[in-house]
Amino acid sequence: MAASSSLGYIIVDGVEGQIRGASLVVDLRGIPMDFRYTDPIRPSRLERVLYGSALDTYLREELVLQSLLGAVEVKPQLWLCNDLDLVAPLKETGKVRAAFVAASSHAPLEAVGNIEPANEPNAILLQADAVSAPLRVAFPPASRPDEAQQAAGLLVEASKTMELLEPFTRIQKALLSLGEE
Amino acid sequence: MAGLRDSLARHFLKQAEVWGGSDLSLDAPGVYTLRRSVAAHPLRFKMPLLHTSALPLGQRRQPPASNGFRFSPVSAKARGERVRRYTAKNLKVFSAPLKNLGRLKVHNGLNRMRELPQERTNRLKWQTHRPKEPGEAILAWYGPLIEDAVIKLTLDKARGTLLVWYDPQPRHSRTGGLYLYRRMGAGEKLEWRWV
Repeated sequence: MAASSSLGYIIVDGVEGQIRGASLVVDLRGIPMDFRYTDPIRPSRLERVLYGSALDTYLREELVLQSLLGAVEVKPQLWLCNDLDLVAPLKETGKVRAAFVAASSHAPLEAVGNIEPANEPNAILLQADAVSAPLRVAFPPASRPDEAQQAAGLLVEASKTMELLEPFTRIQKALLSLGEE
Repeated sequence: MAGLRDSLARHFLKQAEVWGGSDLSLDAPGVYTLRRSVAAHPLRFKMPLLHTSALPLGQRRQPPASNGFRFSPVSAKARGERVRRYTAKNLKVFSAPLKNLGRLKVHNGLNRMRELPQERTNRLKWQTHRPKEPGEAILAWYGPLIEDAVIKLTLDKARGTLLVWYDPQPRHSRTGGLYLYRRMGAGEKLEWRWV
C-alpha cells in the first residue's frame, strides 16, 4: 500500500555488540502509519572471525535493511535515515527514494525552501521551515537533480505540520520501551 | 675368706692391709669444662619443589638436595596418552552455529508506537514572531502543532520539551504554535496561548 503523503524513517543501531533496526512511516502530521522493528542480532565470536570486516556491512545493509523494507506495508514517498552510510544501500536495496537528514549549525538561509550546496558531495542545506537552522540533506550518489528537488519539496511541506527529525527520537523511545518488556 | 679376715683384723687389731705397687693401671683423669655449646638444626627442609610435569615418565629421581624428602607416588603421577595417528575416517566434522545470521524476525509494533507522544522542542530562539502584552515574558514556543487534533499536552519540565498526543483521525488541519508566557507581578503565573 502506498501512502499519499508520507515519510519513512529508518534506523540501524549497533550498541554493545548487537545490531537492531526499526522503521517508522508517518503521515505529514507525524502520526504513525507503520512501525516495524527487528530482533537484535548478536554475532558470536566465531561469526565475527568468519565474516571479518564484512560482517557489519552484511548485517546492516543486507540483513536488517532488506528485512525491514520487505516487511513494511505502507510504502512512503521518501525514506529518511540519520546515518550517512545507510543512504546509498537504502536506495540500492529498497529501490526507493532516500535521503540522509541531520540538523546543521549553519545560519538560517534567507527564506523557507531555499537550498544551498553543502561542503560534501550530493549534499545540500535546506531551509525547511522558519523556526530552525537549515537541515543537512544528502542524497545517494547518482541521484538526479529532479529527485533531490522533489525530496526537498516534500520535506518543506512536512515541516509545516511536524518536526522533521523528531520521529528518529520516537523510534529510539519505542525500542527502549519494547526492550524493557 | 680373705675378706672376712680383713674385716676381723680391722675390727679387733685396727690393722688394715695396704697394697702398693706400680702395676696398677689407672686411666688419666678426664677434664671437662662447664661451658656448653648449643647445636642449632633448622626445621626447614632444603628441598626444591618440582611440578610433577617436570619429572620424566618412568624415571622418577630424587632431586639432589631433597634432604630426605620423597615425592609421593600420587603427587608425582604424570598423565598422558599415546599419540594417535588420525585418519579421515575417525575425524568428526561439526557444523558452525551461523544460522542466526541468515534470518531475522521483524515485528509489527504499530500499536505500541501509537501510544507514544510526539515531542516538540522549545524553538523560541528561532521564532521571530513574538506577540506579547506589557507585563508578559515569553518563555517558550512549541510547534508546529495540529491544534484541533491535540488530545493531551504535557510539559516535560526536566527537558523543557512538550509531549503531544494526537487524535490519529485525518480530519484535522489547523496548524499553529503554542507559546508559554510568564505574567510578571504577584504570583507570576504561567500561561499557555495558541497563536
